[in-house]
Amino acid sequence: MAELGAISLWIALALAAYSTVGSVAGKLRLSPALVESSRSAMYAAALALLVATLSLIIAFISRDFEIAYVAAHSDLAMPNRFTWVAFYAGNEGSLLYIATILSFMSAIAIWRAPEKVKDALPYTTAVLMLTLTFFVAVTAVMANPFDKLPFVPVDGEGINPLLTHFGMFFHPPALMAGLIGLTVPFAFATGSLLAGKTGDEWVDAGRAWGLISWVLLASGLLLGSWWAYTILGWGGFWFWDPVEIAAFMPWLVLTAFIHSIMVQKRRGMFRMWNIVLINVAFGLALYGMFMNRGGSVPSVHSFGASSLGWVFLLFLAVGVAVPFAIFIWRYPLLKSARNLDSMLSREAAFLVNNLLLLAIAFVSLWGTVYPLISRLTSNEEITVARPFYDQVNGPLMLGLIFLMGIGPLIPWRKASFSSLRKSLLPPAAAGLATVAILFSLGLHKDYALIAFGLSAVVTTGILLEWYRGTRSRHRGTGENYAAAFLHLIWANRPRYGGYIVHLSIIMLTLGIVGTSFFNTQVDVVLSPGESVTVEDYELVFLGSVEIPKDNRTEYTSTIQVFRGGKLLETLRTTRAFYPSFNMASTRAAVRSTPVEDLFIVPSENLADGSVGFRILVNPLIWWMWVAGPVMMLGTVIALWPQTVRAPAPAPSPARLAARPRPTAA
Amino acid sequence: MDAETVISIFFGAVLAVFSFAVVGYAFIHGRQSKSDGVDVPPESGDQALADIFDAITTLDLEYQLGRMPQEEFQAQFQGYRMQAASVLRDQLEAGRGDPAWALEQEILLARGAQENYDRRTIACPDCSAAVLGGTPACPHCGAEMAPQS
Repeated sequence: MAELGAISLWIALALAAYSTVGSVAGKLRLSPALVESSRSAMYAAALALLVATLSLIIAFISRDFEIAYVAAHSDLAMPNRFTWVAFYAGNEGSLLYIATILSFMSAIAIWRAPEKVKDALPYTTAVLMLTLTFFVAVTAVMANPFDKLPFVPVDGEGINPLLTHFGMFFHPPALMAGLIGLTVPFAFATGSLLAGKTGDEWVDAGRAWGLISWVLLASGLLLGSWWAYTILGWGGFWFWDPVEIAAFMPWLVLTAFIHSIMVQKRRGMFRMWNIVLINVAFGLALYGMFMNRGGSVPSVHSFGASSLGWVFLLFLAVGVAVPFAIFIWRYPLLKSARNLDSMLSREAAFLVNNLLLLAIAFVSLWGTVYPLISRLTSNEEITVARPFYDQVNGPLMLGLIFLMGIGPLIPWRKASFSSLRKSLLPPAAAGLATVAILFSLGLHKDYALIAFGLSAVVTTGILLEWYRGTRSRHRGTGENYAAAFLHLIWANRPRYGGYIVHLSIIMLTLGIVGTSFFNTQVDVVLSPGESVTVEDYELVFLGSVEIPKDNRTEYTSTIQVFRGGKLLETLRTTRAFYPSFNMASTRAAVRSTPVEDLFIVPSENLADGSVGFRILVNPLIWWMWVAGPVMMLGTVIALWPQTVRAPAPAPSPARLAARPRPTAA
Repeated sequence: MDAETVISIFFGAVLAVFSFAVVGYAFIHGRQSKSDGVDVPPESGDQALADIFDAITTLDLEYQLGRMPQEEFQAQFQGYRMQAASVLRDQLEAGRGDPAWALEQEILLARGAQENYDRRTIACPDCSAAVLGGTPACPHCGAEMAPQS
């Protein structure tokens, strides 16, 4: 399989390079056959990379330890289900994965490209294939997963124990796909600029692929948080680790982009701004990939001993400089169709939302590079940690939530104070009432109160929108409320899908605020039979059992959880020691409810049978994990193609589509 | 060289030949894609019309929810009407589209806009907002409107 994989990789490299050059040459020399041939080469490259991927998977399944990468990331004891995880556990496999995903995204994007961007497609193809050429070249030349060892070892080194977790099946691939997926909207934007199409032609494709990358990054980040929460044993979910931030920054800029692209779609505005945003997002995605492949900032996520840093740094420099050079070249043509009518308009709200998101991204970037700057300027490395990010980003995020509450309630173009008052009064009243109730219940933490109040504003605004729309449909069409609600959402999917995503952000806010401000942590050593009281839980440690496995020794501890003298649940938590990695891995026991999580993780198993436990009560964190599926649902609804062209309901005179277009010419 | 290596190289060669054939196909047949971006036919306009419908639907929803004054709604609607008419005319000039259908759409649009101008506004009995006659419920407060005599 190693030979087939290696040959496929080289074929893919040749095809991608040919497609890059052929697309541009075909377009410039007006040769349709060359353009068509280059596009076919792009499809063939995807096929070749699929063959390479399958070759590596088969090599893992058959434990072909002659291949160095397989020997380094699997062993005979590894269950086959972790083959997928082992595939991208190292630099070589993850690069192959990224190349394969990019090739398939490119093929689908070009195949399904809307009619209005066809003129720019050769350039779009060239941008996609140039990026693919880089990744396949690095994989084939510098990090080939099919390189062979001079001998065949009896067993492999095994998979990193921290990766043997359900979350790992999705967290790294979703993040990597999200980062590389950003190339697609970037390629549509750059392709359009190169072709001189400086209007709104690329907007639909850019928005759709921007949303796909956005949801991939969001789910990757959330799944990574869940993985950290359940396996790392410190009870948290976000560490402000440089590589976490490296994935968070493009997500922030993409969030700004998918909002401002709506303004361009609706009003023909922000044309320059959207190009800048997608360029920045692409640059940050490249920066993220540089960071975990030899970036100079240490991180738990980095691929160890990677020597690819300088190559990625070079590509980052090109990936930032060239698009901005193209932008400056086309700058005179990038005039928006309209100007901002009023600062009291939805367009203005989008603009402020964009600025806040960029500010958070910049603060995060500053925190990441500050150690480097301090080392260069004062020979002393100063790192910044969570307090810095909390203090600076916290208020900015509250501002964002505020805008999320009022933005959708402000009309396009220009709002009058009276209409604004009517729209905002009920949500504002709900927000104030929430703050008053929580304050009277004894909650006196400023930030938390503001966050809960703003969450109430957003939720009330969305629910009122749904209620008004549903009632209007119910009255207008006679549908029952359930049908009216579903049809309302289906009739304007981008809008209502967006509302669902906003609700998921509120769920995230609840989880983050609940855990950050109101959690309880107790570290305790318990002998069998001993108990401890945490909040209103009484925990009785029954004992710990040692279970030897092929590649590890597991210690499973059993704890009974009582509240008010009543047994709620018996929990089991595990700590495993892997001698070959000299590393311990834990599985927390979590009793999860919408109100709070009871989180127990063993930190140490002592010789006398006693166990050191970290016990946490994390309020509202359940909502964070529920937010993920809700966010995906909202994104799918927002992305679902809008094929229904029904006329607007009364009193609109838009009866243009009242009857279907006749088929006869 | 063992059997697995030979088979791998064989399939690799098949992949290479296949790729070469796929790439060369366009030259052999001199095929010109409809969508190659070099000789692009004029845009059909269907997507542009769909976008205008989409914009009108959103505009109407904004108006129904009371976020937009009537004059603003009518002005924007008129703008969209002009855009749609322009697209339909482009289609006809490009020799595509059914002239009768396009004409009918233009008439429907124009008539719809005219009806909109003609309809009188009445005050909502609940919140006193100006509401177009014939609207079943007030778009500002949701109160049912009394039937016009």
